[in-house]
Amino acid sequence: MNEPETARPENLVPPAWRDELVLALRLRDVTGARIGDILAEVDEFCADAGLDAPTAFGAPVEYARELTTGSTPTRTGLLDDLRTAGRVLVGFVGLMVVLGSVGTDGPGLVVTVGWVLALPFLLAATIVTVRAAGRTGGHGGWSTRVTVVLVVAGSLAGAVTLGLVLDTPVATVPDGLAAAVGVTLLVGDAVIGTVRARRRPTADLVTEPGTDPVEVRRRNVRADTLTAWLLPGFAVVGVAVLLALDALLDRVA
Amino acid sequence: MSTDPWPGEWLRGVLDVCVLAVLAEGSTYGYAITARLDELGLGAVKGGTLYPLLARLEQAELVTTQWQPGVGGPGRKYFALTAAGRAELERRGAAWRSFAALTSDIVDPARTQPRPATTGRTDR
Repeated sequence: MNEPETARPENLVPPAWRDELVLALRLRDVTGARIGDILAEVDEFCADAGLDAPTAFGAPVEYARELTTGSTPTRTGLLDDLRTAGRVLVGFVGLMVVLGSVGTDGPGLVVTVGWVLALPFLLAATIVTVRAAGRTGGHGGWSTRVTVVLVVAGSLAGAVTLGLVLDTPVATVPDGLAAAVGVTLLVGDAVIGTVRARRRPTADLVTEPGTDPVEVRRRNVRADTLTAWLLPGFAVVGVAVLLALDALLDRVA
Repeated sequence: MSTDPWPGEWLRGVLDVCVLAVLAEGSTYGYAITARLDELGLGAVKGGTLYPLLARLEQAELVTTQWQPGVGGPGRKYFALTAAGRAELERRGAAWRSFAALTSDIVDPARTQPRPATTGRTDR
C-alpha cells in the first residue's frame, strides 16, 4: 500500500477540540502517556484523511467515552484521596497561620472554635469534591466543571463562615511561636513533597509517543517539586505584601 | 466500492473481524485500514470508530502496535496481527461465513415465495 507523506495537522485539529479531549480523558483517569498516544493518532489520521478532527472523530467527550468503554478504571481509593487532601491541608494551615501571625494586630494569634472546626470541614469538602469530579467520568462537560467550582466556592465560604460565627477563643498563641509553627508546617510539607517527587514522581504529563522516558521523568520531578513549593512561595509573597501594607499605613499615619 | 453506506448496526457487528482481515494482509496504519475497508466495499470508516476498536483489539492482545517516524509530518502508528489475532480471525471468520450463508438463505427470494394457504385441517 502506498504511504503518502503526512501533512502537518495544525489546522485540522482545533486547539479547543484538543483541550476538551484531554480534559475528558483526564476525567476518565487516562494516563498522560496514553493521552499523548491518542492525540498523536488524531493528528496522524486527520493529516492522512485531510479531515478535521470534529468530522473524523466527533465530539471529544463522546470520543473519550468510546475509547475508555470497557477499560479498567484506575480511580484511587478513599485512603489515597484522604492522604492527598491531608497533605494539601497541612501546607494550607501553615500558610494561614503564617499570614495570620503577620497580618493580625495584637500580642498573638487567637485560635477560635470556628477555625478548629473549619479544618476537618475543609478536609471532608476537598475529598468530596475530588471524588465527585472523578465519578462523573467526563460525562458532565461544562455542568460538571461549574458544579465543582460551586462546591469549592461553597466549601471555602462555609469554612470562613465557621471561623466568623464560632469566634469563641480556644487559645492565644504568641505571634513568634505561631509564625514558627506555620513556617515549620509549610517548609516541612514542601520538603516532604520534594523528597516524594524525587523518589516517586507522580505528575502524569501528556507525552508524545517515542518521547525519551528519562526526560519525561525529569519533567515529572520538576513539576512535582514546583507544586510542593507553591504554598511557601505564596506565603513569602503574602508576608511581603502584608509588611509593605503595614509600612505604608505607618507612613500615612 | 459501495456508494450507499451500510447500516451502522451491521457494521458494528462485522467491523472487528473485517479489521482483523485487513491486518492479516500485513501491518499497516489507521488511515490505510480505513482506505482498504472502503476499497473492499465496506465504506469509509471514521477515525472515531476505528481507533477505539483497534484499542480494544490491542487490549485483547490480538494486535500489537509500533510508532514509526512520519515523513514531514506526524508519526504513524502501525498495527500488526498477533498469533492470537490470527487465530481469532480464523475462528470469527468461519463463524461469519456460516452466519452470512445462513442469512443469505433466509432472505433468498426463491425461499420467500408465499406458500399455498393451508386450512389447518387434514383429510383422514
